[in-house]
Amino acid sequence: MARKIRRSRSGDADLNITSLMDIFTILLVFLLQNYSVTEVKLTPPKGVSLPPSSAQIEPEVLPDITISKDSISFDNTPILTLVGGVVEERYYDQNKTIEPLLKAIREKLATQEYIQQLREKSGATAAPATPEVVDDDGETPEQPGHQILLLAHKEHSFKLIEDVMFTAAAAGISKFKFAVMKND
Amino acid sequence: MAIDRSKIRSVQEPSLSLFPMMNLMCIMIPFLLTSTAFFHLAVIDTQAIVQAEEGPGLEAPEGPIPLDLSLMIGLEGFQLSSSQKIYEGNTQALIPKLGNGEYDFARLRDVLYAIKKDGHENSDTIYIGTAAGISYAAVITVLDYCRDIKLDDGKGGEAAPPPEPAADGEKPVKKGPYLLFNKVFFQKV
Repeated sequence: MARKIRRSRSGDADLNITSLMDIFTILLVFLLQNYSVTEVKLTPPKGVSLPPSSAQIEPEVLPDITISKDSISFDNTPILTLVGGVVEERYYDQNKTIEPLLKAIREKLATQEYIQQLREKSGATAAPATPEVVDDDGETPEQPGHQILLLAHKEHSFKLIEDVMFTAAAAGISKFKFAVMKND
Repeated sequence: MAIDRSKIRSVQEPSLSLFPMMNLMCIMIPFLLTSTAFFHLAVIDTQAIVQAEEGPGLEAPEGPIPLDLSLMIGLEGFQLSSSQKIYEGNTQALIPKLGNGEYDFARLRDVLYAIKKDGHENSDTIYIGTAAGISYAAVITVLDYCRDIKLDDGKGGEAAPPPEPAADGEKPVKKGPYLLFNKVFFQKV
Protein backbone atom coordinates (compact mmCIF):
# COMPACT_ATOMS: atom_id res chain seq x y z
CA MET A 1 0.00 0.00 0.00
CA ALA A 2 2.77 2.33 1.03
CA ARG A 3 4.63 1.49 -2.17
CA LYS A 4 1.67 2.50 -4.36
CA ILE A 5 1.33 5.91 -2.72
CA ARG A 6 5.01 6.66 -3.20
CA ARG A 7 4.79 5.97 -6.96
CA SER A 8 1.87 8.34 -7.60
CA ARG A 9 3.54 11.18 -5.71
CA SER A 10 6.82 10.93 -7.54
CA GLY A 11 5.42 10.86 -11.19
CA ASP A 12 3.91 14.11 -12.70
CA ALA A 13 0.65 13.53 -14.62
CA ASP A 14 1.22 14.32 -18.34
CA LEU A 15 -1.66 16.12 -20.08
CA ASN A 16 -2.09 14.81 -23.60
CA ILE A 17 -2.72 17.90 -25.73
CA THR A 18 -2.28 16.28 -29.14
CA SER A 19 -6.05 16.06 -29.80
CA LEU A 20 -6.46 19.70 -28.74
CA MET A 21 -3.70 20.64 -31.15
CA ASP A 22 -5.59 18.84 -33.93
CA ILE A 23 -8.72 20.90 -33.22
CA PHE A 24 -6.72 24.12 -33.14
CA THR A 25 -4.97 23.32 -36.41
CA ILE A 26 -8.28 22.72 -38.21
CA LEU A 27 -9.71 25.90 -36.69
CA LEU A 28 -6.64 27.88 -37.72
CA VAL A 29 -6.86 26.71 -41.33
CA PHE A 30 -10.58 27.57 -41.47
CA LEU A 31 -10.00 31.03 -40.03
CA LEU A 32 -7.09 31.70 -42.36
CA GLN A 33 -9.33 30.81 -45.33
CA ASN A 34 -11.94 33.36 -44.26
CA TYR A 35 -9.45 35.99 -43.21
CA SER A 36 -10.48 39.35 -44.58
CA VAL A 37 -8.26 42.35 -45.06
CA THR A 38 -10.96 44.76 -46.26
CA GLU A 39 -11.44 48.00 -44.39
CA VAL A 40 -15.21 47.64 -44.15
CA LYS A 41 -16.75 44.60 -42.58
CA LEU A 42 -20.46 44.32 -43.18
CA THR A 43 -22.76 41.69 -41.81
CA PRO A 44 -26.34 41.37 -42.98
CA PRO A 45 -28.69 42.55 -40.24
CA LYS A 46 -31.15 40.22 -38.55
CA GLY A 47 -34.09 39.32 -40.77
CA VAL A 48 -32.24 40.15 -43.98
CA SER A 49 -31.16 37.45 -46.39
CA LEU A 50 -29.26 39.17 -49.17
CA PRO A 51 -29.58 37.93 -52.77
CA PRO A 52 -26.58 36.17 -54.33
CA SER A 53 -24.70 37.95 -57.12
CA SER A 54 -21.52 37.81 -59.18
CA ALA A 55 -20.67 41.41 -58.19
CA GLN A 56 -17.15 41.94 -56.90
CA ILE A 57 -17.13 45.59 -55.80
CA GLU A 58 -16.24 45.91 -52.13
CA PRO A 59 -18.71 47.80 -49.93
CA GLU A 60 -17.84 51.11 -48.31
CA VAL A 61 -19.11 53.00 -45.29
CA LEU A 62 -22.32 54.79 -46.29
CA PRO A 63 -25.66 55.67 -44.74
CA ASP A 64 -27.81 52.59 -45.19
CA ILE A 65 -31.43 51.65 -45.60
CA THR A 66 -32.27 48.18 -44.34
CA ILE A 67 -35.39 46.48 -45.62
CA SER A 68 -35.77 43.37 -43.49
CA LYS A 69 -38.59 40.82 -43.60
CA ASP A 70 -40.86 42.98 -41.49
CA SER A 71 -39.43 46.48 -41.14
CA ILE A 72 -37.59 49.37 -42.79
CA SER A 73 -34.82 51.17 -40.96
CA PHE A 74 -32.53 54.00 -41.91
CA ASP A 75 -29.06 54.21 -40.37
CA ASN A 76 -30.04 51.69 -37.68
CA THR A 77 -33.13 53.70 -36.72
CA PRO A 78 -36.39 51.80 -37.23
CA ILE A 79 -38.70 53.82 -39.46
CA LEU A 80 -41.75 51.66 -40.02
CA THR A 81 -43.08 48.13 -39.85
CA LEU A 82 -44.08 46.19 -42.94
CA VAL A 83 -47.37 44.34 -43.02
CA GLY A 84 -47.27 41.27 -45.25
CA GLY A 85 -44.10 42.52 -46.95
CA VAL A 86 -45.60 45.86 -47.99
CA VAL A 87 -45.74 49.39 -46.63
CA GLU A 88 -49.15 50.34 -45.31
CA GLU A 89 -50.99 52.79 -47.56
CA ARG A 90 -51.23 55.42 -44.80
CA TYR A 91 -47.44 55.94 -44.91
CA TYR A 92 -47.51 57.07 -48.55
CA ASP A 93 -48.00 60.71 -49.46
CA GLN A 94 -49.60 62.09 -52.63
CA ASN A 95 -46.30 61.72 -54.58
CA LYS A 96 -46.20 57.99 -53.75
CA THR A 97 -43.16 58.42 -51.51
CA ILE A 98 -42.88 56.85 -48.06
CA GLU A 99 -43.35 59.86 -45.80
CA PRO A 100 -41.56 58.76 -42.56
CA LEU A 101 -38.54 57.56 -44.55
CA LEU A 102 -38.42 60.75 -46.61
CA LYS A 103 -38.45 62.81 -43.40
CA ALA A 104 -35.66 60.73 -41.83
CA ILE A 105 -33.42 61.00 -44.90
CA ARG A 106 -33.99 64.75 -45.21
CA GLU A 107 -33.12 65.24 -41.54
CA LYS A 108 -29.94 63.21 -41.97
CA LEU A 109 -28.93 65.17 -45.06
CA ALA A 110 -29.64 68.47 -43.31
CA THR A 111 -27.40 67.37 -40.40
CA GLN A 112 -24.64 66.35 -42.81
CA GLU A 113 -24.85 69.66 -44.64
CA TYR A 114 -24.75 71.50 -41.31
CA ILE A 115 -21.63 69.59 -40.25
CA GLN A 116 -20.10 70.26 -43.66
CA GLN A 117 -20.82 73.99 -43.28
CA LEU A 118 -19.23 73.98 -39.82
CA ARG A 119 -16.18 72.19 -41.20
CA GLU A 120 -15.86 74.68 -44.05
CA LYS A 121 -16.15 77.59 -41.64
CA SER A 122 -13.53 76.22 -39.24
CA GLY A 123 -11.33 75.17 -42.16
CA ALA A 124 -11.44 78.68 -43.64
CA THR A 125 -10.22 80.28 -40.42
CA ALA A 126 -7.97 77.64 -38.89
CA ALA A 127 -6.29 75.76 -41.73
CA PRO A 128 -5.37 76.50 -45.33
CA ALA A 129 -7.67 75.06 -47.97
CA THR A 130 -6.85 71.46 -48.82
CA PRO A 131 -6.37 70.58 -52.49
CA GLU A 132 -9.35 68.97 -54.17
CA VAL A 133 -9.24 65.17 -53.94
CA VAL A 134 -9.25 63.47 -57.32
CA ASP A 135 -9.68 59.74 -57.79
CA ASP A 136 -7.92 57.38 -60.23
CA ASP A 137 -10.17 58.37 -63.15
CA GLY A 138 -9.31 62.03 -62.68
CA GLU A 139 -12.81 62.77 -61.41
CA THR A 140 -13.83 64.25 -58.11
CA PRO A 141 -15.26 61.39 -56.06
CA GLU A 142 -18.92 61.35 -55.12
CA GLN A 143 -19.79 62.74 -51.70
CA PRO A 144 -20.68 59.83 -49.45
CA GLY A 145 -23.79 61.68 -48.27
CA HIS A 146 -25.35 61.41 -51.70
CA GLN A 147 -25.23 57.65 -51.98
CA ILE A 148 -27.07 55.02 -50.03
CA LEU A 149 -26.30 51.41 -49.27
CA LEU A 150 -29.43 49.30 -49.63
CA LEU A 151 -29.61 46.07 -47.65
CA ALA A 152 -32.82 44.38 -48.69
CA HIS A 153 -34.28 40.95 -48.05
CA LYS A 154 -34.17 38.91 -51.25
CA GLU A 155 -37.76 37.65 -51.07
CA HIS A 156 -39.32 41.12 -51.14
CA SER A 157 -41.13 42.38 -54.22
CA PHE A 158 -38.97 44.80 -56.18
CA LYS A 159 -41.89 47.26 -56.07
CA LEU A 160 -41.13 47.82 -52.38
CA ILE A 161 -37.42 48.37 -53.10
CA GLU A 162 -38.39 50.74 -55.92
CA ASP A 163 -40.66 52.77 -53.59
CA VAL A 164 -37.77 53.07 -51.11
CA MET A 165 -35.37 54.09 -53.89
CA PHE A 166 -37.66 56.75 -55.28
CA THR A 167 -38.35 58.06 -51.77
CA ALA A 168 -34.60 58.50 -51.28
CA ALA A 169 -34.41 60.07 -54.74
CA ALA A 170 -37.10 62.58 -53.70
CA ALA A 171 -34.87 63.50 -50.75
CA GLY A 172 -31.95 64.14 -53.11
CA ILE A 173 -30.18 60.77 -53.22
CA SER A 174 -30.32 59.01 -56.56
CA LYS A 175 -27.29 56.70 -56.35
CA PHE A 176 -27.69 53.35 -54.68
CA LYS A 177 -25.46 50.47 -53.85
CA PHE A 178 -27.34 47.19 -53.57
CA ALA A 179 -25.67 44.97 -51.00
CA VAL A 180 -25.45 41.39 -52.25
CA MET A 181 -23.89 38.12 -51.17
CA LYS A 182 -20.85 37.27 -53.25
CA ASN A 183 -21.03 34.08 -55.30
CA ASP A 184 -17.90 32.06 -54.63
CA MET B 1 21.78 -12.85 -22.45
CA ALA B 2 20.05 -11.44 -19.44
CA ILE B 3 18.30 -8.09 -20.19
CA ASP B 4 19.61 -5.15 -18.27
CA ARG B 5 16.44 -3.21 -17.23
CA SER B 6 18.32 -0.01 -16.38
CA LYS B 7 19.55 0.26 -20.00
CA ILE B 8 16.01 -0.01 -21.45
CA ARG B 9 14.82 2.93 -19.31
CA SER B 10 17.61 5.18 -20.57
CA VAL B 11 16.75 4.60 -24.31
CA GLN B 12 13.16 6.07 -24.00
CA GLU B 13 12.67 9.08 -26.34
CA PRO B 14 11.90 12.46 -24.74
CA SER B 15 8.31 13.61 -25.46
CA LEU B 16 7.91 16.69 -27.67
CA SER B 17 6.61 19.69 -25.76
CA LEU B 18 3.61 21.15 -27.57
CA PHE B 19 3.07 24.01 -25.15
CA PRO B 20 4.87 26.74 -27.19
CA MET B 21 2.76 25.71 -30.20
CA MET B 22 -0.38 25.90 -28.05
CA ASN B 23 0.60 29.39 -26.93
CA LEU B 24 0.96 30.49 -30.54
CA MET B 25 -2.44 29.03 -31.41
CA CYS B 26 -4.06 30.75 -28.44
CA ILE B 27 -2.74 34.09 -29.68
CA MET B 28 -3.54 33.55 -33.37
CA ILE B 29 -7.07 32.21 -33.03
CA PRO B 30 -8.58 35.25 -31.21
CA PHE B 31 -6.78 37.55 -33.67
CA LEU B 32 -8.13 35.69 -36.70
CA LEU B 33 -11.60 35.46 -35.19
CA THR B 34 -11.77 39.25 -35.00
CA SER B 35 -10.74 39.72 -38.63
CA THR B 36 -12.65 36.88 -40.22
CA ALA B 37 -15.49 37.68 -42.61
CA PHE B 38 -18.14 35.00 -42.41
CA PHE B 39 -20.27 36.80 -45.01
CA HIS B 40 -18.59 37.99 -48.19
CA LEU B 41 -20.59 40.98 -49.33
CA ALA B 42 -20.33 43.07 -52.46
CA VAL B 43 -22.28 45.97 -53.91
CA ILE B 44 -23.91 46.77 -57.26
CA ASP B 45 -23.98 50.41 -58.32
CA THR B 46 -27.31 51.65 -59.62
CA GLN B 47 -29.15 54.91 -60.07
CA ALA B 48 -32.78 55.96 -59.98
CA ILE B 49 -34.05 58.34 -62.61
CA VAL B 50 -35.64 61.37 -61.05
CA GLN B 51 -37.90 63.60 -63.10
CA ALA B 52 -36.07 66.85 -63.71
CA GLU B 53 -37.75 70.16 -63.08
CA GLU B 54 -38.80 72.05 -66.15
CA GLY B 55 -36.12 74.31 -67.52
CA PRO B 56 -34.20 75.02 -70.70
CA GLY B 57 -34.00 71.86 -72.80
CA LEU B 58 -30.81 69.87 -73.12
CA GLU B 59 -28.54 70.55 -76.03
CA ALA B 60 -28.22 67.81 -78.62
CA PRO B 61 -25.03 65.83 -77.99
CA GLU B 62 -22.24 65.99 -80.55
CA GLY B 63 -21.38 62.87 -82.51
CA PRO B 64 -23.45 59.70 -82.64
CA ILE B 65 -26.54 59.54 -80.45
CA PRO B 66 -25.92 57.18 -77.52
CA LEU B 67 -27.98 54.02 -77.30
CA ASP B 68 -31.08 54.35 -75.12
CA LEU B 69 -31.56 50.70 -74.29
CA SER B 70 -34.48 49.84 -72.01
CA LEU B 71 -35.17 46.51 -70.41
CA MET B 72 -38.62 45.78 -69.09
CA ILE B 73 -38.83 42.86 -66.68
CA GLY B 74 -42.37 41.60 -67.02
CA LEU B 75 -44.26 38.63 -65.66
CA GLU B 76 -44.15 36.97 -69.10
CA GLY B 77 -40.48 37.63 -69.83
CA PHE B 78 -38.09 40.39 -70.89
CA GLN B 79 -38.63 43.15 -73.40
CA LEU B 80 -35.69 45.11 -74.76
CA SER B 81 -36.44 48.31 -76.61
CA SER B 82 -34.74 51.41 -77.94
CA SER B 83 -35.36 54.30 -80.30
CA GLN B 84 -32.64 52.80 -82.52
CA LYS B 85 -32.45 49.44 -84.26
CA ILE B 86 -30.98 47.03 -81.74
CA TYR B 87 -31.58 43.42 -82.70
CA GLU B 88 -32.12 41.81 -86.11
CA GLY B 89 -33.12 45.16 -87.60
CA ASN B 90 -35.83 45.78 -85.01
CA THR B 91 -36.13 48.34 -82.26
CA GLN B 92 -37.50 45.71 -79.91
CA ALA B 93 -36.60 42.23 -78.77
CA LEU B 94 -38.89 39.96 -76.79
CA ILE B 95 -37.50 37.18 -74.64
CA PRO B 96 -40.36 35.08 -73.28
CA LYS B 97 -40.04 32.85 -70.23
CA LEU B 98 -38.96 29.24 -70.64
CA GLY B 99 -41.41 26.34 -70.60
CA ASN B 100 -40.75 25.72 -66.90
CA GLY B 101 -41.81 29.30 -66.08
CA GLU B 102 -38.28 30.57 -65.45
CA TYR B 103 -36.71 33.58 -67.09
CA ASP B 104 -34.47 32.87 -70.07
CA PHE B 105 -31.34 34.53 -68.71
CA ALA B 106 -29.06 32.82 -71.20
CA ARG B 107 -31.05 34.26 -74.12
CA LEU B 108 -31.02 37.70 -72.50
CA ARG B 109 -27.26 37.51 -72.28
CA ASP B 110 -26.96 36.44 -75.92
CA VAL B 111 -29.23 39.25 -77.13
CA LEU B 112 -27.39 41.86 -75.04
CA TYR B 113 -24.10 40.58 -76.37
CA ALA B 114 -25.42 40.79 -79.97
CA ILE B 115 -26.63 44.37 -79.36
CA LYS B 116 -23.30 45.37 -77.87
CA LYS B 117 -21.40 43.85 -80.78
CA ASP B 118 -23.66 45.37 -83.42
CA GLY B 119 -22.16 48.86 -83.42
CA HIS B 120 -22.79 49.73 -79.77
CA GLU B 121 -19.42 48.78 -78.29
CA ASN B 122 -19.16 52.11 -76.49
CA SER B 123 -22.64 52.00 -74.97
CA ASP B 124 -22.74 50.89 -71.38
CA THR B 125 -26.05 52.26 -70.11
CA ILE B 126 -29.27 50.35 -69.62
CA TYR B 127 -32.59 51.58 -68.23
CA ILE B 128 -34.52 48.98 -66.28
CA GLY B 129 -38.20 48.94 -65.44
CA THR B 130 -40.07 46.22 -63.59
CA ALA B 131 -43.67 45.08 -63.52
CA ALA B 132 -45.46 44.50 -60.23
CA GLY B 133 -44.78 41.12 -58.65
CA ILE B 134 -41.12 40.74 -59.63
CA SER B 135 -38.89 39.68 -56.76
CA TYR B 136 -35.78 41.57 -55.71
CA ALA B 137 -33.64 38.43 -56.17
CA ALA B 138 -34.81 38.13 -59.81
CA VAL B 139 -33.83 41.76 -60.48
CA ILE B 140 -30.36 41.16 -59.01
CA THR B 141 -29.91 38.14 -61.30
CA VAL B 142 -30.96 40.28 -64.28
CA LEU B 143 -28.40 42.91 -63.23
CA ASP B 144 -25.70 40.21 -63.17
CA TYR B 145 -26.53 39.20 -66.73
CA CYS B 146 -26.79 42.82 -67.88
CA ARG B 147 -23.42 43.77 -66.46
CA ASP B 148 -21.25 40.96 -67.70
CA ILE B 149 -21.11 37.72 -69.59
CA LYS B 150 -20.52 34.93 -67.16
CA LEU B 151 -18.24 32.39 -68.71
CA ASP B 152 -20.07 29.34 -67.46
CA ASP B 153 -22.42 26.96 -69.19
CA GLY B 154 -24.80 26.73 -66.25
CA LYS B 155 -23.62 23.21 -65.40
CA GLY B 156 -20.58 24.16 -63.39
CA GLY B 157 -18.33 23.98 -66.45
CA GLU B 158 -16.80 26.76 -68.46
CA ALA B 159 -18.38 27.79 -71.73
CA ALA B 160 -16.47 29.03 -74.73
CA PRO B 161 -15.60 32.73 -74.45
CA PRO B 162 -17.54 35.15 -76.66
CA PRO B 163 -16.23 35.22 -80.23
CA GLU B 164 -13.69 37.88 -81.08
CA PRO B 165 -14.54 40.29 -83.88
CA ALA B 166 -12.61 40.14 -87.15
CA ALA B 167 -9.26 41.89 -87.08
CA ASP B 168 -10.16 44.44 -89.75
CA GLY B 169 -9.88 47.52 -87.62
CA GLU B 170 -12.68 46.63 -85.24
CA LYS B 171 -12.25 47.28 -81.58
CA PRO B 172 -11.10 44.07 -79.89
CA VAL B 173 -13.46 42.54 -77.38
CA LYS B 174 -12.14 42.43 -73.85
CA LYS B 175 -11.68 38.85 -72.71
CA GLY B 176 -12.64 37.50 -69.33
CA PRO B 177 -15.59 39.11 -67.57
CA TYR B 178 -16.68 41.08 -70.65
CA LEU B 179 -18.65 44.07 -69.48
CA LEU B 180 -21.96 44.60 -71.23
CA PHE B 181 -24.09 47.34 -69.72
CA ASN B 182 -22.74 48.25 -66.31
CA LYS B 183 -24.42 51.64 -65.84
CA VAL B 184 -27.85 50.70 -64.55
CA PHE B 185 -30.66 53.21 -64.17
CA PHE B 186 -34.04 52.32 -62.70
CA GLN B 187 -37.12 54.01 -64.03
CA LYS B 188 -40.61 53.89 -62.58
CA VAL B 189 -43.09 52.27 -64.92
